Order: sequence, then C-alpha cells, then structure tokens
Amino acid sequence: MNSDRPSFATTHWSKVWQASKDDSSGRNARQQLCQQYWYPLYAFLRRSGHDPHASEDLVQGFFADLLAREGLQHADPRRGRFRSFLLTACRNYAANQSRAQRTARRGGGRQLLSIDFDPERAEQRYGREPIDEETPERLFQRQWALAVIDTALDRLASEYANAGNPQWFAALRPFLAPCDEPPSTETVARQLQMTPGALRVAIHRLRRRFGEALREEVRRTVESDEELEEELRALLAAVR
Amino acid sequence: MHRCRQCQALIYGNAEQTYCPACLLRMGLEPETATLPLPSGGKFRVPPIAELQTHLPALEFHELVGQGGMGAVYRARQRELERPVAVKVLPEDLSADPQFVERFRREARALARLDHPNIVKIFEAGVADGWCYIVMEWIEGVTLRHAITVRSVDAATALQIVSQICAALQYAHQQGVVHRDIKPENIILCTSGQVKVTDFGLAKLVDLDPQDASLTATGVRMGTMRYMAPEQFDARTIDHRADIYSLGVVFYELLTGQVPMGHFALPSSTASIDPRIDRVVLRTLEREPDRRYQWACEVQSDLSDLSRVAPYATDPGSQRFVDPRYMARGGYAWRSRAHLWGVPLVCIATGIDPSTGKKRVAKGIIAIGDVAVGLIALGGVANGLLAVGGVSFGAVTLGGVAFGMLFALGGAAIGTGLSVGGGALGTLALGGAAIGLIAVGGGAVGYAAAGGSAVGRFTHAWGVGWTPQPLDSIAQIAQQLTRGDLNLSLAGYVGGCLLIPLLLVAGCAILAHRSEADRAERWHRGATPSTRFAPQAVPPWKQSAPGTHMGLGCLTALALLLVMLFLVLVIYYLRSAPLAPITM
Repeated sequence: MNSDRPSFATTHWSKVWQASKDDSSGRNARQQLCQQYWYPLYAFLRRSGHDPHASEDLVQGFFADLLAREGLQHADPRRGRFRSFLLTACRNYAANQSRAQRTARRGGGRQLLSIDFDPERAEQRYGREPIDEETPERLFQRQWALAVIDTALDRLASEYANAGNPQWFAALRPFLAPCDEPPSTETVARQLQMTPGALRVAIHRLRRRFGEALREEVRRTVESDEELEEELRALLAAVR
Repeated sequence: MHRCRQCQALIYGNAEQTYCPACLLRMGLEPETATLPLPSGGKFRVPPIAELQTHLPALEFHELVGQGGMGAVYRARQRELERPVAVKVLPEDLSADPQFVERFRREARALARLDHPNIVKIFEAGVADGWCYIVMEWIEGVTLRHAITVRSVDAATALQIVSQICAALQYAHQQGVVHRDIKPENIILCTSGQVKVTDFGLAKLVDLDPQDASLTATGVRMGTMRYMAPEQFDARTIDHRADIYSLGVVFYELLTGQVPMGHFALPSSTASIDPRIDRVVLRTLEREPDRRYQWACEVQSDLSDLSRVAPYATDPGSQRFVDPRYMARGGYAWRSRAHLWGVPLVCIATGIDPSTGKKRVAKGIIAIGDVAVGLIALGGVANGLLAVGGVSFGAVTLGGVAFGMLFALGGAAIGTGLSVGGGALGTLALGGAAIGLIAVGGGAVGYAAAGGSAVGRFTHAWGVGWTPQPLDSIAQIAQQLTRGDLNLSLAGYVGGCLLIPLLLVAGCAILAHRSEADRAERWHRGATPSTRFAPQAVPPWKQSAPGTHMGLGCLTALALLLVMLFLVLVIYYLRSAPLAPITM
C-alpha cells in the first residue's frame, strides 16, 4: 500500500495531473495513477499487435512522456474521462513513435518514472487472456474495469488494516462477490470468533463499503457525478 | 472461462480472480440495494411464542401462521384494544446491525402513513430485545398464492383482483412508496372479497433477504425472482414501474396459472378469456419501463373499461353484440343471423372496433355503416352494386361524390354511363356542369350539348349556338350569348357552380368526419395521466356529435333533390325546343 494514497483518494485525476511537476507528492500521485492503469494499456498494445518488448517500451515511454510534459498535447485532461483520455493519448503515442525515437527516449523516461513494472508477470497475465475476436479497445475497457475494482479492493484492504483487523478482510473477501461456492459460513465465523449472524452482517457491510469505495475510485476518473453513474454502467458493460 | 453463478456474467479465466467483476460493479451502482444474496447461515430460527410473549407483553400471541423470507408471522391480540392483529417478526440477525435497525424504524414510519382500503395497515413497529417486529391489521382470508394453487380464480375475478391491487399500488406510488416485491404471497384475499396488499417496502428494507422459504441450493431467491422486473436484475435504477411489471406477472399467472417466461404465450391462447386483455397484460410486461404502463391507475382504467363491456354477450336471436360504451360514443355493430353465400344478409356497423382499434367496416348483402361494402351499400363510403353514400363506388351509385359504371347520381357524378349531378361527367351527362358525349345542363360541354350555355357539335336552341373554335376572349363568348338567353344561362351556371362545391364538401366531410367514437378512442389510448386527462386539441370542425352524420346525409339528399329539380326543368325546356344541328 502506498502511504500517501489517502491524501489523494478523493482528488480528481486532472487536478493530480496538473499539479506542479516539482511537487513530490504530486509526482507520487501521478505515478500511482499510472501504476494502477498500466496493465490495461499494456494489454491494449499487445492485442494491437505489438510484441511484449515493444509493448513494454511503449507503455514505459508513454507514461514517461505523459509525466514529463506539463501540458498535454493530444488531449485536454480537464475534459472527459481518464479512461478515454489515456486510451486516446496512448494510441496516438504508439502511432507517432518510431522505433528510433522510442529507444532514445527510454533512458530519460525511466528516471522520471518508477512504475513497478514486472514485464514477465505482465506477459504471464496477458497470456491468460482469452484468445478470441475481442478488439484491443474492448480488452482495454475490460482490463480497465478490473483495474478499477482492484484499486477499490486495495483501498478496502487498507481500511480494514488501518482499523486493526486485516485478517477480517482476507476472511471476508471470498464472500464479497463469489463466482464459485464460497467457504462455509460456520467455518469462517468460528475462525473470526463471531456468530454466523454477525458474520452475515459483516459481509453486508463489506459489500456496502466496497460499493462506496468503488464509487469514490470511479469519481476520480470522471468529471461529474452524472458521469459517475454513466462510467459505472460503461464498466459494467465492459465486463459482461 | 465460466460464468458467475449469480448474474451469469462471463468470468474470464484468471486464476487470481475469485470474484465476479459484474457483481462488484453493481455494488457501486446501487450500494443500497445490492441484490446478491447473503450466504445462508443455516435455518432461520423462528422465535417461540413464549419468548415473544415475554418481550411483547401488550400482545397476546396465539399461533404461528406463516414463515417466509421476511420472517415469521403470528396471530395475536392486542390486550388493551381487544383487537386481533398479525405480528411479523424479522430474522434475529438483522437487528444485530444498528444501521438496519435505523432504516427499519425510518421505513416503518413511512409505511405506517399508508392508509388505503387495499393496503394492510400497520399499527406499530419496533425492536424488542433483538427482534424487529411489525404489528399489523389482522386479515381473515387466504393469500393469492393459495387461490392460484387451488385454481379458484376465474377471469372475471382476476380482473377484479388486479384492479384492486392497482388501486393499492397507485396510492402507494403517489406516496412515494415502491413495493418492490409484488407476488401472490403478498396479496391477501379477504373473506369479504376485498384484496389487500401487504409487506409494502419491506423488500427494500430487507434487501439482502437472508432466508427465503424457497431458497435454492445456490442461494438465489428463485421464488421472488420470477416476479422481478428486468431492471431489478440489471443495475438500473428502480422506480414504481418495477411494481407494474411484477403486477403483470401476477396478472398473467392469475389468468393462465403459469408465470411468463421467455417467449410466453398470449394469455388468451392459454385461457378462454377476452383477447383484449392480452394487450393490457403485454403492456405491463414490457421489458423497458418506458414502454410499460406508467401508472397503476392506467391499468385499472383499461381493465374497468373492459369489464364494463361484455364483449361476447351474444344475443341468441341474431348474434347481436352491442357495446354500450361504443354505442354511446356513436359506435354500433349488428349482423343478421340469415346468411347468403357466407355473408350476412344485413350488416350494420359504425364506429371503432375495440378489439382492433380500427374503424368497423360493414360487410353484407345489405351493408350499412361508416364504411359499407355489399351488394347494396349505404354509408359514408359505400362500395356496392347499388351504392348510396357520401362517397360511393359501384354500378349504380348515388352520393356526394358518386363513381358509377352504369348510373351515377351525385354532387360530383362520374360514370361511364349516365351521370347526373351538380358536376356530371359521363357518356350521358346531366347536371349543373355537364361534360359528356351528350351533355345537358346549366353549362354543358359535349358532342351534343343542351343547356344554359352549351358547347358542342350539336347544341339545343335553348343554348347558345357555337361551333368548337379557339376561344379568343371571354368577350367573344359574351358576344355569342343572346340577350334573351342570358338570364337562363346565368341561372344554369350559378346553379351548377353552387351545387358542385356544396356536394363536394358534403362528400368530403363525410369521409373525413371524426365521429365521437374516434375521439373517445384517442382519449382512451392516452399514454400518461397528464396527456390522458388533458383536453386534446381537436379542430372545431372535427368536434361534431354523431348527429352530424345525419345532417350531412340530409344535406346530400337536399342537394340531390335540387339536381332532380334541375333535370325536370331541363327536360321541360327540351320538350319545347327540339334538338337541331347548328347552323353556321
């Protein structure tokens, strides 16, 4: 968990992006945003036909380029959603980038950017994506939705950890939205030393709190509350 | 790759992913009403009467009368007021959540304000030693579920039941309360014949309905889901229209004994009911809330319209079906029992056919109606061997506008044979303005023309002798008019010219006339209460009573009389001056 996440938890993405380049906490927040959403871009580039190395270089270069610049040329961050902004910007970047430029820029980019980027793991994960007719854009949308969920889950985990019961989250998480048969409530209740009834209340609260965390997270990437609902629906459509 | 067992969304084969992303995103969309069931934690412990008795001493508990998803229901008596009550006790676990208790209290206050004869009244609600309870009016009767199971509901009763549910829903919706869980188990048929809806708003309260009696192995609330509107599954916002969908499911089940699933059959094809009910049922079951009935009162009023009318109340004498509502609005249908070549001997039909929403067409050997088709047809638009009407087509026709093969008599008469009329066009044309091989009239144009101002190869002396030649000027014609004939020819012109527009208007008016029945039908189909009850902008000339038809008919007849009179005059003149070739 990144320690300075809470301070930016509710800050809008375009504000984070526009914060002064020299402001270290601003930079951290920007990197954190990149960290959360690099995999969807990686998957998008891979599906678009780039090989693993080129994709990795492009993502790194793209973020470095994005973070190095104060004003963004390809899109206006004050307008629209973070999701479409990143996709458009990345698509343009990949199109404009010749191999030579990319190599030249890579060195500079790496210094600015400290994304925890494990190419092997990324490729492993990409290898598990279904090989079907899915377009790069659609894959990107789906991965984006999963990334948003992951971020919300991370936030929830840190909340439970801060509250002093990290084992609770680990035990309750299988009940959040189980796609398989969840463990028996009796066992988990005994493990957490609570009655099955209390456990069910706890699960209920976990779900409600997750919903809130998810909304907060999505709210950061859109412009208005109206867009929030729209974005959630778009994400829902992307995973179905 | 497999599917989520809750929402059937695809889970892509990611070993790390132990959750369903679609279910999770829905939690964000509707944090308050996440529909995921909680894992079942064993059987719901029904509180024993003795235990309740100690917690609620003001009540005298008699027996446990039912238990379901929302808890257990007991029959009891309020000691102080000595009245029977029903006490609903919610599952114990729920009261462990202070947030739930708070919502419960808030919701109970809202529900207690509902006061309607078709809604079970709430007397009291509270939390006593870990049990949330609701004290309600005691209803002597059975649930609709019971009635459906024993199949004791006929179509007429079903209509009455649904109508009463509508009244309850309309009232609650106006108060801003959505039921969310309309199903036969929540509808009680009183012994008095009244219908009462219970458990209003409880579904929202107990949104994570822990132990439904019909819990399946996977933990999904199957029992209730069959009645849920599509938007209750998707993460869309739910409003009162979800209740209207559920009502539709109940309605369908009442009529057919089955719940509509997938491509379901029309109720009228499964049960012997009035096919007009299909339209009402289908509109409640629209998947899109916008296409559904928007308010329960609309369902109710459509149903009351249907039930007031006995569509197949057949008169054994002559298959007569008179719809009083449409009768009052100018509609009427009657068919004689006697048939000829498979066609009724006499058919009289006017107004709108309520089953199709279209204008009735009278078809018979003798057909009388707004639109009549038959050997002898009388009507606004008449088609027949002998056709009489505003606009008539046929062999022998009489009408405002008459098209006839042999004989056409009318304001504007057009025919291959003899045409007589204000404006007549035919082989032999007689009329105010007659055009034909032989034309006789105020202004006659033809090979042989006789009239006030006749133009033709042969003209009658009564007319003006004139050989066909280029018309240089009006003055030239005027020159040819003899002084003595001027008055006569002018009279012919004026008479003919007046008759043409008069009769044309009469014919067209009958065609375009919107009768009362038309307007009634449009009112009837109004989509929302606001448009339904708002006066519609109907042009004044369309706002006519059914009597207008008769008025127009009389006008036509009068005009025809004038034409006849004119003919008599023409013949009189013809007798006095024989037809002779023109002398140049």
